[in-house]
Amino acid sequence: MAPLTPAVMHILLSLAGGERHGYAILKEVLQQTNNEVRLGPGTLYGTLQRLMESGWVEETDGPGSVPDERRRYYRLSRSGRAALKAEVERLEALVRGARARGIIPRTSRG
Amino acid sequence: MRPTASFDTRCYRAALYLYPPAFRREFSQEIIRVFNEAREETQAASPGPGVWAFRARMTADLASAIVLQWIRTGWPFIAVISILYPLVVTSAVSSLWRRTPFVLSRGTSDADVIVLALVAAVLLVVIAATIILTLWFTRPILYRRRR
Repeated sequence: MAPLTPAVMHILLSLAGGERHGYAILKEVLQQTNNEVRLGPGTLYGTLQRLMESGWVEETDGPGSVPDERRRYYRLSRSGRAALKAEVERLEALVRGARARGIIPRTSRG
Repeated sequence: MRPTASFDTRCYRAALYLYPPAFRREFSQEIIRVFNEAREETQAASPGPGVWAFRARMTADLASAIVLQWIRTGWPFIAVISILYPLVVTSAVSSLWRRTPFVLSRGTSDADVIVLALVAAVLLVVIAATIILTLWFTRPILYRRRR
C-alpha cells in the first residue's frame, strides 16, 4: 500500500475517535497537531470524497436518537481502520529505523 | 428572517461555482457551513490580522481544491487531447504535403478545385476525429457517474 498523504492520515486519525462532522474533523486535526495543520474546507471535503469512494470512510446519520439533518457525519469503516493501522505500523517501523541510526535518541518521548 | 451572509461568505459561495458541478452539488452546503464556522471563530479570536490570514488560507485552499477536483474529473485531459490531436494531424498532413510532390497531369484543367477538395477532406477528418476521440474519452466518466 502506498503511504497515505498527510491530509488523509489526519482525517483518518481524527475519525478514529468516533464519528464527526466536517468542522469537528478540522478542529480535531488542529488539536492533534498542536495548531500546526489547518485543513481548509476544500481539502477536507475533497479528501472525504476520495475516502468514501475507496470505502475507508462512511457517512452516518450522526450521534443521538434524532439525526441532525443540517450536518453530515462521517465515520471510519473497518477497511479504513485497517488502512490507518497499516500506516501507523509503517511509520512506527520508520521511527524505529531512525532511532537505530541515532537520528533521534533512544530515550526520546514524543 | 434569514440572516444576511457576510461579504466573505458571499465571495466564497460565488467561488464555489468554479468547482466541477457534481462535487459542488454534493458538498457545497457543507463547505459553506464549515467556512462560516471557521470564519466566526477566527473573527472572535483575532479580529484584525487573523481574518486576513484566514482569507489567504481559504483562498489558497479553494484554488488547490478546485484544480484537484477538475483534474479528478478527467476533463482537462480530454481538452488537451482534443486540442492536441487536430494540431498533430494537421501538422503531420501539412508536412507530408510538402514532402510529396504533387504533380498534376497536363490534362487537369482546374488544380485549385482538387486542392480545395483535399483541404476539405483533411478538415472533415480532423473534425470527425475530434468528435470521436472526445466521445471515446468521456465514455468512462459518463459510465462512472451513472453507477
